[in-house]
Order: sequence, then structure tokens, then C-alpha cells
Amino acid sequence: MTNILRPYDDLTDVLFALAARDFPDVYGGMGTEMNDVEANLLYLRAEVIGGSGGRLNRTSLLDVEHFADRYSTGKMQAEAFSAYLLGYPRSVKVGERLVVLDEVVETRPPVELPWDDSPIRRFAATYQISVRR
Amino acid sequence: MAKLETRTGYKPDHESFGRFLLSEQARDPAVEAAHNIVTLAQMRAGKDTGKTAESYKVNENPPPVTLQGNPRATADVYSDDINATRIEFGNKRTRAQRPLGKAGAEIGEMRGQPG
Repeated sequence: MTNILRPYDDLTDVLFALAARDFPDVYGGMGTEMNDVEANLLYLRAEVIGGSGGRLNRTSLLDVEHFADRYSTGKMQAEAFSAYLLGYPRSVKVGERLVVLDEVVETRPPVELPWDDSPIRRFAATYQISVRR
Repeated sequence: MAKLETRTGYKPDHESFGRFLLSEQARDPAVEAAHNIVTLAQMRAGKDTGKTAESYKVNENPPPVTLQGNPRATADVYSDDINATRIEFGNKRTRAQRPLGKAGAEIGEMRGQPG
């Protein structure tokens, strides 16, 4: 008998749903693109860069970036978000489904990365996040 | 009367193991993984990255990295190309390609150590 498995949810959608629910009115925008960052500060950007998975669980490597107009704002929110994720497990509804973050490992804590020649500050972190199917 | 046998049980030798973690033997797998990351990143880097992909190098003898309080021998992958940061992390006009990050993640998964 062949099992047709339910597809995994997009982890960036899960992250944005968590951020919208648990950090209300903090972010001016969220997304995976970089070209609409500056008009929507404080901006949360996420992108999956790798991972591995099986029938029941998937572990993804996720870049999470915070863009802000000041160092203190960006750094504080990046650290707050890091502390929030590391307080796993977390669950959130994405569409009709409940998604559970079982484990989070911070493989790169928030560090500042250059953002062109503009005064905008960017803080990037990388997380290894395990979710259930 | 025979003397009773005394047993000391297992005593971990933290000092010797600490020396092992800083040894060439412990560094070898890290160096091998670093070279694999460079090869994979060069293979996957977009053609538009120009000389950046060719600039990826391995530092086989960087200072030890301390993980959970324990110093360990390691190896670094780096680039001295001026465009490497833009290609790796992106900017307003260039999407982050993450050639090194993705190659590192992939090699890590192959070795059973995601990320």
C-alpha cells in the first residue's frame, strides 16, 4: 500500500505566523525578499538554506534577518526573537493546520551584517528548526 | 587472610581528551570537511559570482574554537574577494546566494550533523 504523505509547511510561513501572533505591532513587514526591506522597517526576513527530513520530522536550516533603522532596535529585537525561538516547543496555526516546532538550535547567534551604504542595520542569525509533518 | 580487591571504576581523563581535541588527529576531519565545503560551494556558485567562487580557501590551522567551554581544533573556510559578502548575504540589488552556508549545511547533513 502506498502512503501519500501530507506536505510539510513552508517554514518561513510558520515563522511569520509566529512573529505576527506573538510580536504584534512590532514588525513593519515580513517576507523572503530583500527589495522591500527599507520601506517596511522593522523588517523580518527569513529563508530556508538547507535541511534534511523523513516521514515524520524535518530539520531545516533557516536564516533569519532583522532590519532596523537603529542598531539598538535591530539588535534588541533580533535577540528577543532568538530567545523566543529557543523557548521551544512552539505551535501556531498556518492556514487550517497546526504546526509544531519541536526543537530549535541556534547555529549562528544574531550578528550584524553590512547592508549597502545605507544607515539601515541588519542582524542575521541562523537556526536549525525541527518540525513535525 | 587475602586482601580484598579494591576497584576504582571508570575515571574519565578529561585532560588527555582535551589534548586530543586540540590534536592534528582531531583537526583532520574538520580540514577534510572544509575542503569539501569549498568544492561544493564552487560547484554550486552561480556563474555570475565571477572570481568569488574561485576565491574560497581553507585555513587549516586557525585558533581553536571553544564549544561549551572546551577548546577544539578546527578549520575555516574563507574568501578574500571583495564581492564575497554581497554574494553570500545579499543586498538591496542582489539576492543572498549563500554558497558557503548552503554547502556547509549540506556537508554537515552528510556527516550526520545538520548545520
